Amino acid sequence: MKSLRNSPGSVLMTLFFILTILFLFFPIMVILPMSFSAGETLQFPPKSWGLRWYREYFNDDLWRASTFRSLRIALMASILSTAAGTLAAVGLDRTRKSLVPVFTGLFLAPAIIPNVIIALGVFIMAVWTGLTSSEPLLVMVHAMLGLPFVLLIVGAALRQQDPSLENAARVFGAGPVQAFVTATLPPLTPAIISSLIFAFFISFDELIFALFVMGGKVTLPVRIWSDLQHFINPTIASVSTIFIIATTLAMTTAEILRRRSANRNA
Amino acid sequence: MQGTTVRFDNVSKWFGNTAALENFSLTVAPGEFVTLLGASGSGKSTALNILAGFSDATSGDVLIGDRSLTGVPSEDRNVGMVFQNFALFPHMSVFDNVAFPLKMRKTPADETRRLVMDSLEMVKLAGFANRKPAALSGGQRQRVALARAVVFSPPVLLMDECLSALDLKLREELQGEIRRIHKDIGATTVFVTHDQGEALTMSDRVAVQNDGKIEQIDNPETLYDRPATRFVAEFIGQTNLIDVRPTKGGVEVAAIGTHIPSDKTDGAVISLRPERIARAGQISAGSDITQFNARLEDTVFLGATVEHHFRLKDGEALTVREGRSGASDLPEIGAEVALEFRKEDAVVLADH
Repeated sequence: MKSLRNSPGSVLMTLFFILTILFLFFPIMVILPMSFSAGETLQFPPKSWGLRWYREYFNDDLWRASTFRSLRIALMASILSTAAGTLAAVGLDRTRKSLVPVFTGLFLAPAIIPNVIIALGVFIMAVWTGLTSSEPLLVMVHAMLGLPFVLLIVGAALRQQDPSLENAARVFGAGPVQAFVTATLPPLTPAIISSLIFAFFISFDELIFALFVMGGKVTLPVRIWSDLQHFINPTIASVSTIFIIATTLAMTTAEILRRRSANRNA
Repeated sequence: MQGTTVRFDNVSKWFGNTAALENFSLTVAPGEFVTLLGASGSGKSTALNILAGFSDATSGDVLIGDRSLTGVPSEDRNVGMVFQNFALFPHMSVFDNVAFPLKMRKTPADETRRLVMDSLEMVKLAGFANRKPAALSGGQRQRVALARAVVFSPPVLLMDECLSALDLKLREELQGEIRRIHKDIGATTVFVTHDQGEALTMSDRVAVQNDGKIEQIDNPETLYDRPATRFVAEFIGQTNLIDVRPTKGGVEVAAIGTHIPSDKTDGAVISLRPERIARAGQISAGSDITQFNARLEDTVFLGATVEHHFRLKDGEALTVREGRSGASDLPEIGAEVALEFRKEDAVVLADH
């Protein structure tokens, strides 16, 4: 076989790979240095350096309020989403075979139907029920968006698990609930934590639904979005940098946990 | 510890229009080791799942001792079980796995400790109490599963194909160990397998299942020597099935030219084990012997024995197995060889 190394094809392949990576990371590479600018406006590269815009972010009540609002909503949405998604995965595992595709389709719909369309529906519903600018409503909507991911992650872990674990717990003396809690659930812990983290970030950086229904109560993504509309201020860059670092750390953790749970019973 | 009677009383299980188990009746005596043997789909696992409480019978009843199990959930049946894939709890140590049934029974901590260590001692894993199941070999996991199943001295022990995941050598080793443990603890044991060798080695009695029904239930020797049906004769060990015609007082074997006495009026085949046929003159006189000629087509070396493939005069194949001790003078391929067997070794069977 002819060696592929140094052939024109492999050079092109490498070039293509580098360009793809550059394209994917370009926004981050631009944002990071800009956040450390000491200037008045967004500059790339910055002419002078400093932490000025980080101070700005932490000292601004409105920025802080929207950050806490987003954290609060994401926390509640991810818990709700993980609880519902885990139960859905377990339920699906025990559903009559002919009904499984129906329910799977239903649960995965939020990840497939364009968000703008669901957002429009939610908006109309919010107007009817008077639930505009309601944090609980956004929590539920975000939980719905996270559900497909929880279902996929926990469902995959569940399929790896020995299906007779729960029967074993039962026959050795555990009641139905106790068997679920002591035998079925604990081996799923890594997958559940990983789902929590995924669901958290799905909510935390969600813009469209928050724009549609939150009115005056802006979340962090909405705040970033509306700031960009009015004036370009380096605070956005510092917020984004914090955002990027937190997301990277959490997603890496989630991925490590997911892989650990996938390998455990193999 | 003393085992308790287990009784299946006319149990049927229907999945839609197909019967996984049909009018299944079986009584296992206290302390007895009974194996349910059958291919997949024969209903053996269905029977075990109903006994364990994982599945409900469509009709009929299962009893442990005098107690009907209808409506009794698994956790209240007080049976031990070894699962096919061991079903060890992956998040618990070996100790916690074995302690699980005791914890559910609220056994005091010091007694739990003693019983768990005794159990682990019994399966030779006392030094592994703190390991996680993932850090054990297949054979060790199997032993932990066994220790967990017996740690609370259940009167009834169930085993579901629990050796089939292991390789042959380990399987044989564990077969011996399970028999020893069974003798020690005396629990009434129901063992499920598709491996006939395993069933014959381990059991007091074997129930051969086919299509949701019991074909025959007997001790291993009877099952092998006197199969009750054509299915059992073919399923257990190796046999020659020769077509026969019923006549007065027995059956006519045209291919060999002999008459086998029998009470059966619907005899259609005889089953003749390969090791029950010998070269003429080797079976001591005194019993009713029949002799015939067959042409040798092939000889296969099997180690301790050799297998001869003969062709009868009507074209039917016949396999004969002989030990190698006295058989230095192997007949030539293509030769006509005189053979004989005792008539009592031929089992007359109906054609179903």
